[in-house]
Amino acid sequence: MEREEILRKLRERIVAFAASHLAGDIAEDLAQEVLILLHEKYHQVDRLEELVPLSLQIARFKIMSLRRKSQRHGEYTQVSVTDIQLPDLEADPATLLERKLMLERLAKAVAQLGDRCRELLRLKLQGMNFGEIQKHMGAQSINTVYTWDHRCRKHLLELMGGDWEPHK
Amino acid sequence: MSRDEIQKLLGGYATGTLTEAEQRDLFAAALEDQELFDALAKEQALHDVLREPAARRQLIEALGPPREPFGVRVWQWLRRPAGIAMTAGLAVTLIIGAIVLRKPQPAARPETIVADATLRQAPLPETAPAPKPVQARSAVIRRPKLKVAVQEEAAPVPAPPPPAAPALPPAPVAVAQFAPPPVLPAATVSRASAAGSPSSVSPFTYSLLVGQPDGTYSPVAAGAALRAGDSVRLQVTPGSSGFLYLFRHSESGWRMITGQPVEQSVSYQLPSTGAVESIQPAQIQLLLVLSSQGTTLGDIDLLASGADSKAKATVRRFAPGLMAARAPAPVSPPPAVLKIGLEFH
Repeated sequence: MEREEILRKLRERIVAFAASHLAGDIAEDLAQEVLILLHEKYHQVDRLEELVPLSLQIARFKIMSLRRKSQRHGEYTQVSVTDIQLPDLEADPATLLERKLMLERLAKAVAQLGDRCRELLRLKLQGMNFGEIQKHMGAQSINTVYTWDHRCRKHLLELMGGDWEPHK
Repeated sequence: MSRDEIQKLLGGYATGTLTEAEQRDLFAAALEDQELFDALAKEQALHDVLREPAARRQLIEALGPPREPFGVRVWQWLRRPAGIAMTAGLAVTLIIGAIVLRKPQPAARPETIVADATLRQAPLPETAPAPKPVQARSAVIRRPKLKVAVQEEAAPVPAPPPPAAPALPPAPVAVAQFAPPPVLPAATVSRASAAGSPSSVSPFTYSLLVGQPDGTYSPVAAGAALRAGDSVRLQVTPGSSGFLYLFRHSESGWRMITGQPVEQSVSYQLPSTGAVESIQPAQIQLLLVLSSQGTTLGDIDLLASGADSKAKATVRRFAPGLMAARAPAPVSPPPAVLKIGLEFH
């Protein structure tokens, strides 16, 4: 898939996603900001496996920045896209704090998982792919591992209150 | 990949578990599927946290000590008292089950092979009239799944057949039943016995002795017939040591005339005192039983009925005039039974 085609589809998805989190025409503007950043700062990135996670990361930072600013000014629904700063993808103090809080919640939640889920998550965090995990855990097929992981992730998400992030 | 399968890849995105191929599948699907894209976008928060090695280490610590491999966990469980008890119980159950399963099953209906043996008259002195051939009753062999070839006259003595299945009532017996008994040529019998040494594989060989005026017993002359008032004894040479019994049939059933321990290949006269007699023309049924044990002979009627029902034996003439009852030779030999018919004219 060509880069332009990927970016076109990305824009559609980001607009739809942002529209479910932001009001008005902010979603359209946010998607445009993401694409501008990809074009200006990451023009050398053209592979699907890189473009999608990068665009998701940028979009998330933009949404979080927008929320923080809106909450500070009490203008959550009235913020203009021109006031939103483009994230430089470097962790700022607020982002670091949010990550710290999220990590603490995660640590509490994973401790409540069952043996298999904890073992599966440990192997994932140690860098194993699903094929390696299958061999390590003696699963009959890789689909079995996918299923285990799907259930474990669902359980972990429930233990986290339904969302990875601490606010909303 | 189906949508459901793609959904299952979501869990690998945040932790960086996906291979390049899996990532391509997931991202390509997400570009076409808004719901999947939204789910992927929500995973981004976790993805961003887990990108940091320090955060990964912290989570790994929160997960507790790693789970032991399956084999190690089994070994640890086995070392617990409860595990030992359960394992021992399971082992005992398996052993008992194996023993029960290895018990021989009741034999299927055995094949029956009927061999009609014609007892030919032995050569007689020229002066004697040529006797007619005697048609013997069927000698029947019942054994499970085993066929016995009926060999030609004067064939070498075959090895004893294998032991019969234990579930066959009554216990395997050797029966030779001849009819009509009175025509049984005593002379033939005696000559056969004299000519042939007791076979090591035959339960016994026997000949008929008839009382003489001087009180001794001598073999019945060839072609001679028994007469009312004759005293008859059997000269028996057992093929193995054990207990030898002689029964006579009467209206009340089988009555033991004598019984004694015997040694292999030693000749005995039965009865040792007295004789089988009939003061008038009659047919007398005798039952000769050789048992390896003196106390477990069992039901004589059953043994005799086993003979009547053509139980288990093969009857041959191995040499002119020699009749031998051949019984199976199992590890614990069953009683060998020979039914003899005498007719006093």
